[in-house]
Amino acid sequence: MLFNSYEFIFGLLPVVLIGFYGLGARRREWALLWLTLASLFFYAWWRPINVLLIAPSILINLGLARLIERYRETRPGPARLLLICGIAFNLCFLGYFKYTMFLRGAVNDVFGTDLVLTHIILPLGISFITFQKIAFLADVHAGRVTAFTFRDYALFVLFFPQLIAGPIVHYREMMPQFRAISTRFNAEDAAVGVTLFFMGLAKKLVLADPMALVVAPLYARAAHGEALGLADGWIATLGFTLQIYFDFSGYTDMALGLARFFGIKLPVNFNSPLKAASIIEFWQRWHVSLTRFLTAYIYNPLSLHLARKRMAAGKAGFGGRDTTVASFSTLLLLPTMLTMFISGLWHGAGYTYIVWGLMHGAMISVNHGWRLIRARIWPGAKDHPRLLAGTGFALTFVSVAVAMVMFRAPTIRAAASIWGDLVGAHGVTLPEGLLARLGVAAHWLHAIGVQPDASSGSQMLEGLLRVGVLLAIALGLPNTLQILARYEPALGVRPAKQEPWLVRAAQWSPSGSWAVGLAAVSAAGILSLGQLSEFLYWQF
Amino acid sequence: MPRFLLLWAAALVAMLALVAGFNAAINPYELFAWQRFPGINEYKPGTRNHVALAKAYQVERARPVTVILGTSRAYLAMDAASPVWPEADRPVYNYGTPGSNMSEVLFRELQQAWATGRLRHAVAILDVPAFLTPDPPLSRGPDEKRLRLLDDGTPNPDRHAQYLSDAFLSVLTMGALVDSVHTVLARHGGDTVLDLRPDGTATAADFIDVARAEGMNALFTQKDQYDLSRVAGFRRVLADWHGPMPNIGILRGMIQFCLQRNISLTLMLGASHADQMEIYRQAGLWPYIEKLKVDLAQLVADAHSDSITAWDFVEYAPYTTETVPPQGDRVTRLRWFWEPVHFQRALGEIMLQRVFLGTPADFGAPLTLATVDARNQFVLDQQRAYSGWRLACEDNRQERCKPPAAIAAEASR
Repeated sequence: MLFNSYEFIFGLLPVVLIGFYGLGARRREWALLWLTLASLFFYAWWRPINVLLIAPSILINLGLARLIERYRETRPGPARLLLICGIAFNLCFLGYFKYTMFLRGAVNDVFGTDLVLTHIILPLGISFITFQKIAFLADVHAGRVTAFTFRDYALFVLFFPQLIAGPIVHYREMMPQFRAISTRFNAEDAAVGVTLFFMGLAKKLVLADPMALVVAPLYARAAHGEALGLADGWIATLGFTLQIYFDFSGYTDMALGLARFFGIKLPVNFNSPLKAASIIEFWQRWHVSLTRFLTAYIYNPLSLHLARKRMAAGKAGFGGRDTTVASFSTLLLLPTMLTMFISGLWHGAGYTYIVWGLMHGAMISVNHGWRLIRARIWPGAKDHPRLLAGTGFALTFVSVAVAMVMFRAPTIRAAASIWGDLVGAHGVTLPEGLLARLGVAAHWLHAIGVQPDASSGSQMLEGLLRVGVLLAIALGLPNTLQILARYEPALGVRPAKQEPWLVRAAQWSPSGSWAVGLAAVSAAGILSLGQLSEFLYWQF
Repeated sequence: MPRFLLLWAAALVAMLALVAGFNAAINPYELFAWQRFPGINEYKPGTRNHVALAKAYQVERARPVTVILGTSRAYLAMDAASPVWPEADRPVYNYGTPGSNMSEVLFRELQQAWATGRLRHAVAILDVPAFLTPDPPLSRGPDEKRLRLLDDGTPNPDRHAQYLSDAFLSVLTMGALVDSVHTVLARHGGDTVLDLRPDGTATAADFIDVARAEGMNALFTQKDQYDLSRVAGFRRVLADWHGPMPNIGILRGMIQFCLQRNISLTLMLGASHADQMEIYRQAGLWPYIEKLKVDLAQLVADAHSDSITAWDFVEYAPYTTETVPPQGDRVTRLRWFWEPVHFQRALGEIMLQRVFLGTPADFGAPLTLATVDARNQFVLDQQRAYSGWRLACEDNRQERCKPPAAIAAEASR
């Protein structure tokens, strides 16, 4: 079931809330059990068989966690083996559903074999659930999680606000909240939850989804080998970047809001990533919980392992002015590329996702390299952020947007074609109708080589307008975390000591004007739930 | 906080109710049987992307004696209010639906029009490319769920549920709100406003708008490119095709349906501009078009009934060989075509006159087994003359290059 559906907003959600508060007034345990069962129902809605797939996996993980906990101190060897088995089991589980077809296709591509590409239906949210279970086993093994019951574990894994699209949560940050949860109605939590949920719904349906109507035909054209031209190439690039930005931002807000209805604060997962001044900062703002997982469970252990090996061999470590190219390559470049390779593969089973991940790995490595070089050529650079923040922002924004083409394009060839469009490799053209309206400016454009084409001028203008408006919102306005900072919208979020005037002016409060304003936003979201879409008018 | 929540909920309900009331009153998709009010909701531009929805309910209210069936060409160019229609055949409803395929628009809509109770005559505007590749299997989407009868002729059990769904989505969606606002704003838009009249006839506002902005050459260029992109697919399909042309079975089913219910059926192979015909000729598809005409004549012969007739307007006549204005010309308008596929209402009117009044006698011809071979030869001769002139014209780069007199006698009729 999707958050942005009638059946969820007007069906399941009210029923779950009434049941939760109703049962909670009698016994807390009943309310939590109700929440677990409701989450299971939420998960089963799309394909009931999903429950049969995910339930054994949950039970096996719980059993492994129990064994790891029992042997962790007394028999560390077997405990470690159990952890490895658990991780392998989860990766195989994910791999079977998500990567079987891709791997068979890759084998066919490389070896010219003819393996059958059977489509395997992916259980919903399997990537998120798998990472969450792996993190749980690792935390149990490390002693960060000690006491847990089946009910606790089931609620942790299945809690529906974060079940399908994250954030990827840790047991140790969720269970204390579940244990302290008040099952009585809390007006503040409800008000904050409503605000987060409907702001997220509007972001998703009013801002992100209409952009798909602009972007999808452009990528379809590129997929058919058609050159888009400079202007449409940039609309496709920026348009998709903004579409996925508001889509993910909206979904994350909805998840935060839904959890808050039950008094639960989920961790920060999305914090205006397009405002980042570096690619490293981008990943501290974009899908924060994934970055946290990858850093903690892949990058750090790998980096540490390699550092120990180098030190044991008497080679130089990493950091500071003495960093060598070899140590940089071994201790930073290699783990970063591997981590981002996994990140790409996690996002989707396809070559384009892998290339996207590797591109980000390369960009992060360059960013780290620049920091090292900067320290040498520009020592004591306290004024550095002030001087280069604008450049860093522009570089990051363009890099992220250009890489997003690979994320969206159906093939590497289509992505490369759009990249060619971005630099005018396929010529610079504008719609004939648009040029006709530009008057004398059209002659100037013609003089510098701009040619007319037969595409629709109104569609191009619509695309540019949408990109402009969404860009202004993404870059110019405060985000939901800032607007609701006084009410801790996500775990650990507090108001900053010094905020720009716009953020101060936009602070949420339970006032009449906010209630009416939020009602308008909510109405826009609800009205956008069920657009009548039968077929597209024939294209001119 | 409780006050905030109450105020939010009250404001939300009030806003949604206001929107629903406004949308229901403006009725942007013609779902409800409200009257139109001049200066408020006289034109219905919101039907642009919801023609199938609007027409499914319009036709029930219209209860036509004659129905026009077809794709966007019928939708745009055939006037249900034309004076040409015989009095006994009125009221006429134009069920032409853009963006659909032959299987959807012809048989389904014939059934739906018949189910309204008094259908006596059906006029189907046929598209040549629709017979060059088979339609995909029909899907059971909302378009079918709105109809009185399912494809197999049984009553549709989902119809009322679909109506409720359409009514809900027509009043409580952002798209409906935007379309309602457009409807109100469009009251002074003149011919640039798309309208779907209660008799199903639409204005060609979109073409007029693009022709003004970009010129008719742009319209022709775009459609030529689209046609060119399809010919390879047609060739591939037809290379291994045996028997009657693709989708002929749909027409055979329609003829049976009409014969059993005493409905007269007129099949009209609609006019194409020479640009499109030349693309097919150069792609080697012309023999298939000739075969299509033979198949149509055979269908008529097999029906053994005067109530089933077929007409052919695919020819190189003065109406179909107008010279396209040069690139950048945003002033010159063609008289008969918007682009190579979509003919204008004026030409639709000529076609109706030819079928129902017999004039002009030199454009279009009935298709029968006795005449079809001569007809094909006649059009082939026209084609040779036109192609020869065009080649010569392009070689000589004449500034004011007009078709030869035999073809290009000004269409002043």
